[in-house]
Amino acid sequence: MPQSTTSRDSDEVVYGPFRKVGIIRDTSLQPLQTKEEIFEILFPYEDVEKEPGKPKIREIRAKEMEIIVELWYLPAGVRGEVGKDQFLFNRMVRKVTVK
Amino acid sequence: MRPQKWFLISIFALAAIIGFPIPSQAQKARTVDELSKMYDVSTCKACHTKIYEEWEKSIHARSLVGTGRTAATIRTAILDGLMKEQTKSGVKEIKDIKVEHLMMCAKCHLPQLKDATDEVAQQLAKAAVDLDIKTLEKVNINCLICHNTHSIIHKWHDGLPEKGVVYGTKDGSHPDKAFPTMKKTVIMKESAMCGQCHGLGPNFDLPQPIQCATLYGSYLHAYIPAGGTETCHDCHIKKYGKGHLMPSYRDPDIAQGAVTMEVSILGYKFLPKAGDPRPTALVTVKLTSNAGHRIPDG
Repeated sequence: MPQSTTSRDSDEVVYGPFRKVGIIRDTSLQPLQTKEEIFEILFPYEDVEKEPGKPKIREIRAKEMEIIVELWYLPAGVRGEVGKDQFLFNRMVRKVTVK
Repeated sequence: MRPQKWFLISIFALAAIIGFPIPSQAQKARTVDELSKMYDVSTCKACHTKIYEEWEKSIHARSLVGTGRTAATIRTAILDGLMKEQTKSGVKEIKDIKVEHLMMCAKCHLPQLKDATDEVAQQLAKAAVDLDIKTLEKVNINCLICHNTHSIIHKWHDGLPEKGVVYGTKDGSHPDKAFPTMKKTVIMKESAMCGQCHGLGPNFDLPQPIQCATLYGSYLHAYIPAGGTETCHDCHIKKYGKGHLMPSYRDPDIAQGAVTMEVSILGYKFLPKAGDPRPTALVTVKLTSNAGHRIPDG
């Protein structure tokens, strides 16, 4: 979102159109531009002692995950009622596996 | 003093004493209801039913209320802005509020306030402070704002908007007693039409430079330089068939069309150090904006 100060010798971002003058930083999605976000999600695993005294073996509890990616807009920055406080822009579901 | 001047002064004094309105005040609305009547558009519905019904559901039709945030923000602008932080505003109570004070919001949310007295500004300010939605909903951005008062921006080319004229894309007669003439305006399909209100940044023409919408500024200085070629109308009226509803993020078609999302996934075992393989899903999300302005903006 565009982040604005009062332009009254201040570096503090404010809320309210009656306070904002100018923009100090803009983290919005800009027109015709692409933003990339990378997420690393661990598969569930556990280090198990198979034989006493021997190194533990890493066991992957689930080798397949369903990843749901949702893009939401929160006008006030907080979650709440869908269609009032938050709006879904896009949703995708993907499956991912490890060997 | 010369006899003629004395005669004129007497006439005006007499008018003021017996309650005749001074000509410059006679045409201004004195109540919210009068302002609403002055800008009544109910006769448009008979012929332009579909357009009217689309508009009725739009945020323009509730410009002082919005999604709820607008009314709440006008309230804060009065209580925290005018009455508290802006110590030189001259406003301590509702009764101190003049049209010029409320113009910080009304410039875009209710430009017709210029045709009202300070009493109307006070009535609307009280309604905002009390969150009296019913009163706030009586006046709005309606047909006459886009199709008359804000139809001409090149006033040295085209003159001022005329009374009794509905501006659009055609010239001709118009079957409405109050607006018997249609005239073409050159800006009707231009983004500048919307840009009049949908913001360039701080409004430096006002005594206190309010900054609400910066969307048109983003359109001019980011979308066009990035190679954008569409107008506001292309996306918000035509492309998704929304007409005079002119929705934004609250409409799923507009929201989905505004941002393209691509997701790619890789499953592998990341090895941050020897003997510590981490089974990981690497999820790369790319968001590409197709909108004519930054998201979010207003």
